[in-house]
Amino acid sequence: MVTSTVSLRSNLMVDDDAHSPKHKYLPGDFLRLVKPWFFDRRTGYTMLTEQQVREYGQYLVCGVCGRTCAGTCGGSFESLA
Amino acid sequence: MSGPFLFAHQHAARLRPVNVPVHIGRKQEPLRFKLPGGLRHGLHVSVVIPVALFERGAVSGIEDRAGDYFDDLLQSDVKQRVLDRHKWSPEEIEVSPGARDRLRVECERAKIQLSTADEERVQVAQAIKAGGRMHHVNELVHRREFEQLIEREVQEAMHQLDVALDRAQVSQRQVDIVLLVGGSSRVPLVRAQLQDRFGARLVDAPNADTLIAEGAAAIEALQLEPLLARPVRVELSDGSLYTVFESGHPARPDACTKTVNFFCTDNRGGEARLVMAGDSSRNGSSKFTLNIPVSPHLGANYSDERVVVQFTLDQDMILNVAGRGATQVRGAQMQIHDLCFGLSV
Repeated sequence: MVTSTVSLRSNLMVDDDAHSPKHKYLPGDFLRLVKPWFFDRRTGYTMLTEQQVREYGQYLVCGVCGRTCAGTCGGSFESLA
Repeated sequence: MSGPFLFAHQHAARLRPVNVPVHIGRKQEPLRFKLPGGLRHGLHVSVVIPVALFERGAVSGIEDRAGDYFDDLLQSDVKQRVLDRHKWSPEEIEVSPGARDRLRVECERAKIQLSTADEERVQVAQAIKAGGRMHHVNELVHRREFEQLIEREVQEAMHQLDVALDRAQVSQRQVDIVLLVGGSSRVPLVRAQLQDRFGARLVDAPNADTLIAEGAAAIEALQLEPLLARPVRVELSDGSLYTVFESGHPARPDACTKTVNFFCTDNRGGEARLVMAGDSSRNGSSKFTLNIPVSPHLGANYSDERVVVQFTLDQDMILNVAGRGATQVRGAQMQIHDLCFGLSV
C-alpha cells in the first residue's frame, strides 16, 4: 500500500485580535481575486506577506520563459508580474 | 523493565485508565492488548507509551464484539447440533426467552470450563419445544470444536494487535511484557496465539476477570482524575497550531467544552477544512479533518464567513467537534475517539 504524504492544508484562522488584519492570512492568489488593490505594483507589494507573494507568483505567466513557472526558470518575481 | 508493556483493559470508556495507577511514575513503555471479554464494548488493542503522563500510543479493535460473542457462537452451534440430530428445521422448534437465557448462561459456563477441560457438556432441561413436546439440550462440546468456532475471531484479534503495534510504531520484539487481562485471555487458543508471538513475555494477571472493575474502584477511591496527556490542537492556515485544550487539562465534560470562532481564508472550494493536529490522538501520526460547508460566493466579503466550531468532550472520552459556517444552515461534525489521556497523580 502506498501512503501519500500529500495532504490538504487547513484554510481556517482564528477570528480574534491576534490574527488581524484578516487579509494577511489569505492565500496570495485568492487575495488577488478578492482584493486586487493590494497588488498595485506601485506599492511594491508591501501590504503582502512573503508567502502571499510566492502564492500569487505561482499563477503568473513568466516574462522570461512564458510559462507559469513560479520562478523556477531563474526569472525574478518582477519578471513574473 | 524498560520496553513496551501490554495489558488488557477497557470495557467502557470511563474505565479505560483502569490499570494506570500501577504504572504512574515509572518510565515504562506499556503496550496494552485487550482480548474479547465481558461487556459488549469490543475488542481493543492498545499500545501505551507514556511520557510524563500515562498515555496510549495506539489502539485498534473490533467494535461490538467481546467475549460474550464466543457465547453466542457456542449457543448457535449447540442449537444447530440439536436440530441436526432430530432432523428438525428451525421453523419446527420453539425456544422460550427463558430457555434461551438458560442456554446462553450454560454456554458461557461451558466456554469457561473449556479453558481448562478438553470437553464439557452443555445441559439445559426442557429447553426446546418441538412436536408438542419439550426436549432437553445435552451436548458434549470438545475444546477443539469450540476453538474452530472462534478461530476467525481470534485471528482477527491478532490482526488488530498487528495494526495497533504498527500504528504505535512498536515491533513485537520491543514488547517486554504482555499482561493478559479479561476472561477471554484464558482461552487456550488465544493464549497459544499470543505465546507464538511473545513467548515467555506473557504474564498472567491473577485477578484477570476482575481487574477492570478493581481498577475502576481504585480510581474512584483515590479520586484520580483523567487528564489530557497531549494537547488538543488545530492546525491553522499559516501552518501554526492553535491549542484548544492544553496538555494536563482535566478531561471532564464540564471542563472540556470550548467554542472557537474561525474565519475561512479561502472559500473557493465551498468548504472550510478544520484539521486537528495529529498529536491530539493516541496515534500521533494521524490527522482528523472536518470539512465544514461555507459559501463559495463571498468574494471581498470572504471574512463574513465566520466558522464557529464547538469542541466538547463527553463522558466516554470522545471529543465531539461540530462546526458551522455563519451563512450556512447545515454544519458538519466529527468524533475523535482516541484522545490521549492519563490520570492525575
